[in-house]
Amino acid sequence: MENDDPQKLMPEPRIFVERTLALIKPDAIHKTDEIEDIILQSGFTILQKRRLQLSPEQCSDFYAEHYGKLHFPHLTAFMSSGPVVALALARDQAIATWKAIMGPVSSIKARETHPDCLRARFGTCDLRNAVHGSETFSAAEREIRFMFPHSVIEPIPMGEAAKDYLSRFINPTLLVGLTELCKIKPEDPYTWLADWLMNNNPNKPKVLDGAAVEEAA
Amino acid sequence: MDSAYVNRCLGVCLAEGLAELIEHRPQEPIEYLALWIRSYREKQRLQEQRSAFESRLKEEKQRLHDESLHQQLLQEEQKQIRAAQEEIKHTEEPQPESAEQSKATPADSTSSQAEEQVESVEAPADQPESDTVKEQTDPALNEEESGETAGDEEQSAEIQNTEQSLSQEDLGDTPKENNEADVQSEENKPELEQTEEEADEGQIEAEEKVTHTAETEDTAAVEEAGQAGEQDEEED
Repeated sequence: MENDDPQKLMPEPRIFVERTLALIKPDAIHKTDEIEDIILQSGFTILQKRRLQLSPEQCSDFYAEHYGKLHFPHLTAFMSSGPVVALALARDQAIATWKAIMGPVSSIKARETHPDCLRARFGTCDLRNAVHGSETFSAAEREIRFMFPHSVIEPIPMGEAAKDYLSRFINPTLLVGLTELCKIKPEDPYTWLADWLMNNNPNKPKVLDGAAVEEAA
Repeated sequence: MDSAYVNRCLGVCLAEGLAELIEHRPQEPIEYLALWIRSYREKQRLQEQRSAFESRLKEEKQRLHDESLHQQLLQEEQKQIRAAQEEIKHTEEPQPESAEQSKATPADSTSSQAEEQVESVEAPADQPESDTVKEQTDPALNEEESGETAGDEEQSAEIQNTEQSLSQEDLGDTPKENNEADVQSEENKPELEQTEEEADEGQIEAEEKVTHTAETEDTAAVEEAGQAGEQDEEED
């Protein structure tokens, strides 16, 4: 739905390049250059590159969709055991192409059915399969944002999509804040509104110092 | 009223902030917006400070420019004052020229007045009168009548020359004048008639000689001086 809505709502066609996130896992970190060459030969453009070591908490956040599965703890432990390289790739139909180049999830199956894919060549088993790729468009957006927080995610919503986004995430809180602003009319409305938004953020818990003191007493 | 207030205070800020929010779509949009508003406010303050600094800088530049113009005007005034002083010096220089002119004027006065010269020439004639009178008495007694007449003519010529020389050399001394007076008194008594005739001739000859300026012997000059003395006495 999220994929289709923006396309339907766009009145004019726009040039848009699909993007995906690729991870080179710790077991294949020593083959990074070779994997990058294969990526470039396949027609991808590497937009951003980052080498980092994730903490177990970050791994659990990144693989939140796998939470509850049997392999989740092992996956988290494996991904935080060594450095990884994160790549933001861009190409026409980037997600599908990258999945094709990677091959099946299991390296064992990959060697049987897709001997030339990356997982067949550099992976060893289901868990240590060398590379990771985004499964869907929305997953790609989320994962790119996770690894590269300051990047601009395309397509930028326009028209009704923008209104929907604002009405869903911003308007309830902002309208209440503006109402309070009109009542009080402070000397510096900018600072006042910023402080109010920080104090009344619905996405964060509120800490009541008074209540804490009372509980302590 | 409230919407107008919000538009006036936060309209531009919210418009830009929400556009930025949609572009980035962060995980915490409210926090993102709050931080964005703070940074927007900070940018505004920096811009205000920068604009104030620039305006102050412009004012100082204008002030310096005005001061430089004022200094240029002062320098021009100094130059004019120096030029005026130089002109004053130039006016002082022509003063010696005026002095020269003053020197020239007495020369003109002397040349213009011929009669005065004649009078001045006659005045020193009194001095040689004493000497000429003494000599005249001696030759008058010694010489004959005809010789006396010829001597008179010569004496008149010499008198004119001596008068000119005396006028050039000296104007007149008091002791000489006293002597001349005594001599004149002596001359008047012995030769009253002769002096009258000689005076007339002497005047004519004196005029001629003044124009011609001829030279004669010393002795003749002495005689002429005596005759001139007589003429002067008559005039007095």
